[in-house]
Amino acid sequence: MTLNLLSTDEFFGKTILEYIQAVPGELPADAVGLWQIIPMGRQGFGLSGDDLTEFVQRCVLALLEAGARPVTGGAGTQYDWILQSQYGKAVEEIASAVINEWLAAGAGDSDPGGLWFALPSPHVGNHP
Amino acid sequence: MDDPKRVTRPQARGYEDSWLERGARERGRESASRRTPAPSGSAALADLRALLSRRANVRIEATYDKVGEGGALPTFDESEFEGATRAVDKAIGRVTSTWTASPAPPGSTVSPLSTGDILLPNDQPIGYVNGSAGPGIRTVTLNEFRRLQAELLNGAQVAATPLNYSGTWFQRSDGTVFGMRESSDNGITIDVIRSGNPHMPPGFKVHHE
Repeated sequence: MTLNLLSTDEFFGKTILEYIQAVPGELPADAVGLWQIIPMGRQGFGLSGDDLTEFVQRCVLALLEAGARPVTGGAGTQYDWILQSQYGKAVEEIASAVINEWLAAGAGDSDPGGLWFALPSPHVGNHP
Repeated sequence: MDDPKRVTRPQARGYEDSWLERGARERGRESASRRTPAPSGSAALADLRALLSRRANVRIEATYDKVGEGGALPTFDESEFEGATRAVDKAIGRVTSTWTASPAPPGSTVSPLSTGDILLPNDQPIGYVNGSAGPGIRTVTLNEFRRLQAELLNGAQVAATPLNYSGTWFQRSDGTVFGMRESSDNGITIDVIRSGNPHMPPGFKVHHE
């Protein structure tokens, strides 16, 4: 592992460790998207390659361990979010599947049309 | 648009149902405790019209009149929301989703503010951090949120929006792409999707109280 957890971001001066620990803090209020995490790693912390991958994986694990699950937007349905259960059940399994899918797609920046992570809620539905 | 990666595996159904059911019970109780009174939808639209006409110089008269007088937009039932606050935000969302915001009229001296001036005044993020959210997730009062909406939409154009995004994307003249996303618990949230401003943190969001 070469990721320096004490590196600070150029926007708020927070360390990588602080960011990872704080990323689930938004979940009670709103879902958290990969579109927020990936560019923070790339632009905020200047990460690339394996370090960026590890950063994203750690953030995803933190969200999953806080009880969130992968979702996409629910526009056109009665839900705010649609659960994406194809990544598996166990936290580690889901995190690996999400990261592998991101890497296979070229490890680019995501956008809000992509994957988010949300807590269970009446506003999260099954895939129609 | 079908995405084969989105297919649900049958063997995961039991797990999905228990996670969703638990969430429905837990979050439903939490939502019920956060009810707050707010103006009705029609009053909110009137406020929004006055605010935009007065401050943002945005040409919405024709669109608003179409909305307010039984135009083509779908109606919504205010009684389906737990609090009038959500009805206000839903009303704003219905209006903003139809906007094709135009530049200031010829001869006008009002030009759109830069996204940085709106969301990072004096190079400081607007609003405050609520609860345990990170520093790039901001919260402002509802009145300030309406002002931000109006200023961001001034001179903006509707942009291509992903089909599953619960709202609309807009692009500003400085290249910033932002979304106005509706949710059941939070009303409207501003998502800053792309920005050429080097001081704009990635994943910047603005909620309202």
